[in-house]
Amino acid sequence: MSQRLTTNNVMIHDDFGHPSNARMAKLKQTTWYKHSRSGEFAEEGIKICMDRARIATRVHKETELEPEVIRHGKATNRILTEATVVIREDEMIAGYNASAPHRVPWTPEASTFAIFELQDTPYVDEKDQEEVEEIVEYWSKNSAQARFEKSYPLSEEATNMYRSGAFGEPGAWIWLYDSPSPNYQAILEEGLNGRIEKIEKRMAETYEAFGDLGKGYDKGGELPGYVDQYHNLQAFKLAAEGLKTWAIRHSRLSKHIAEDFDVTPEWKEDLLELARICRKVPAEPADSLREALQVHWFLYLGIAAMERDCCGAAMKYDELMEPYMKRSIEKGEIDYDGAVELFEAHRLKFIEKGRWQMRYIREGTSGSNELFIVTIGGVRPDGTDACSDSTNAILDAAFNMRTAEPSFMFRWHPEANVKTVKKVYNCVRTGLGYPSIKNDAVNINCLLEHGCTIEEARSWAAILCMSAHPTGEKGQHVRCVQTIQPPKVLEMVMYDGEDPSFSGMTVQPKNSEFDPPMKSIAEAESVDEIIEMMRRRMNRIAHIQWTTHNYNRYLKSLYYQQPLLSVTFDGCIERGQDCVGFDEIPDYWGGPLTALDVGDALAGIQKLVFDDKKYTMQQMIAACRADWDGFEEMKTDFLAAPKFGNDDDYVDEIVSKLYHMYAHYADDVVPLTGGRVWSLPQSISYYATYGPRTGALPNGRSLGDPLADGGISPWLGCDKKGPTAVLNSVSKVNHSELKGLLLNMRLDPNSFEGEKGFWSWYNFMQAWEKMGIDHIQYNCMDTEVLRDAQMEPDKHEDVIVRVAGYSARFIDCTRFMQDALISRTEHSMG
Amino acid sequence: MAEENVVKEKFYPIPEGDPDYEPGKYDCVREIEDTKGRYWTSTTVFRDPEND
Repeated sequence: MSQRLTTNNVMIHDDFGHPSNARMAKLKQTTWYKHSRSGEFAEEGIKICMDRARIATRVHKETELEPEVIRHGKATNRILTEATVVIREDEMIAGYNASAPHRVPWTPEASTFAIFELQDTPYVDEKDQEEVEEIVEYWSKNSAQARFEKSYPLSEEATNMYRSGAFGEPGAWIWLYDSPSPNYQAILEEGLNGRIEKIEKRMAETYEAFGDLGKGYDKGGELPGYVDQYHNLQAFKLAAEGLKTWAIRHSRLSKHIAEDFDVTPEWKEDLLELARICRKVPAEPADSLREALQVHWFLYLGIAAMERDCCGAAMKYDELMEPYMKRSIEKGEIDYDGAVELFEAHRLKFIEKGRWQMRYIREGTSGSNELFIVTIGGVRPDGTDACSDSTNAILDAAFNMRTAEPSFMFRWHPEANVKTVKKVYNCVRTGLGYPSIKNDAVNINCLLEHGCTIEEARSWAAILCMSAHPTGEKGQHVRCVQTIQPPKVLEMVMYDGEDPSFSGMTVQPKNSEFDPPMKSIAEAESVDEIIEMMRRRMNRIAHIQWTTHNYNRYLKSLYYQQPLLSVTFDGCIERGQDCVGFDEIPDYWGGPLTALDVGDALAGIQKLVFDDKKYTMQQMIAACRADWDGFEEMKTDFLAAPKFGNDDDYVDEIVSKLYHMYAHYADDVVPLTGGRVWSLPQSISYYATYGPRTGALPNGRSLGDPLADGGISPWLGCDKKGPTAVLNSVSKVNHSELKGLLLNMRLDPNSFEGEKGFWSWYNFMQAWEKMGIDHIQYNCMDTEVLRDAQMEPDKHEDVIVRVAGYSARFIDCTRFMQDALISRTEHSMG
Repeated sequence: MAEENVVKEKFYPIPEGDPDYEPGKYDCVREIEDTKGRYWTSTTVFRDPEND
């Protein structure tokens, strides 16, 4: 066992955390984790649940002549009315998205590739195989991806680009999940009954307008928009009623368990309370913290798992729950510890939620089940500090439970309550890897650039790991992201459109075939010219990606609507419009994945080709093509060239220019619903999975080596001059022109002892904030502990690490990823 | 592996006032044990009331 005490007697790295009480500890131990490892579920025994897919397929077959949005509304209604509901022993919060705790649902309506993959896995029970094949057969012709492929003529270049697998994630039309931020507040305050009342009022107004229909036809006019509006509103009502029914079914189940089954007297009493709560909410407004958490969980699962497959859990958690926690404490229903217990119970619901997704995505989020990131801290809409008892209780629950998910985003601002910041520090120093910390002012300013009011901008939460968006009525409807892999683009520049290291294909045109033509890299006279070559190739990719994305978004608005999500937005009800088709605040971003390596590579070229003239460009290219085989001395030289993260202007200025290009490579792209494409360099865990897809680079890296993590973290082990030097390097990049920019930093836990350790870190963070750096997150773990965990994983189940924008159990990471995490430079504080 | 053992099964008619009420529609409630612990499920079924 790896347990040890700090000087102030806080146990760190113990194996099961410190849940508030025996009930929470038992719940944690009996939870089925849905984490993935190397693209497979890490826990043995995870199986597919047929309920959701079976019901959705049946409803869609039964409704083939009906408007699409109504088909989706009916499917959501029937799934919530018919799918098996589950309650685990001792649970406080009800709701699971499959028919048993070890099962996960699948969503055949979306990605054909994902369901093809399912057929050949051990996750399907033998008795279900035939039915799975029938469902796959139906959706292979009717899924959203199938509709895209039937109707959109992909160019040969686009097809090659996607087939090569070289440019980041698959096209948006293949992986088809969204990351919405529902307006939870509307349901908490009005209840679904309030929303249904609004929907019915709009339906009546719209129906009245039907009186003009005949007149419109007589005049040869177009069919008025009332028809679509009425259909949308019908679908909203169906979905809302489905969720009400789902809650009532949980109420009945709780009551039956309490009254007819052998349970402890304590849980029996609690089950009867749960039965009362589920009969009340989300139909009616919530009054207590427990009711509010239950509303959140039903609504979240309803939207993100039952209606369709979504990723993420965006919300401003502390502010959302603060009034309910306050009310419950004032009424004497609970005390502070009772609130912590409820937040602990809520955490466990995230851990057990699972879903079937493409292997590619599971590999990319190895160690987690999906990207649950909830946001706390920052300022309120009026500009005052938002840290509260609710923030503190949430952080205490996370510290106690020691689970990888949900991860937190803490919005750092200089006036944040120090008591809360100390709790943030406690989580960080004990190795949880969260909260991840974002600069509140930088993100608020960015959202003002998106067209938000100051109050909207101050309401922001992270949508997934990094991207900030307002919450509430202006919450995000649809995830609008396309990623690109700059190291691969550098290879295209080096090899004139070829991808010799991974696909072996000629993916992009030669330099001479561009309009106007580009000269070859061998003729380049500066890194500025190489950056410009990259910009033009990235811009070409961006146009292909965003054209397919725009078309995909358009098709989704016609065929893949989200009525239940729409119910939460006043704008959707007032306009009678499904949320998939429009944005209140357009928020498009393009993510250069593994962005920093190119900066170091360009510094290598600057040093050894342009300045020292030790090698020619052709020699460098030949060495990289050979993966340095036969060029070992050259590899050593390139490895020794200046590296980012050491406050060295020689390389930092190159990186700064490169990131300026990243900020603008897609400036001339026109998104479907307005706005512009912002750039958000990041890595998720693709620094590991892209390693084998990316050839040798002129930073001395070989084919297969990990790439740089984060958006701007120094390449593994290359930052040698301490944490302040890293901050100085990072601050030279203009963060204000990017949607976000993540720095991962590994810290020595031994430098975090007592009050002195806190204040050293606090001052470091205040300096970080003043530098205008967007985002930082920490790994704080002894190398010795990590090595122990590699040797004896069963004894280190709760060793949590920060992988990327999410935390994960170290034992669930691949060995490759584990080694990459250990290789990060360990900095000392103070 | 997740061994699923049904410990107990009971049927409850859905109350008339509930939104999913239909004549002959029941909640089939099962207590199940797997390798990690106990849980309960409820699935809606149609059955002959004379079976009660």
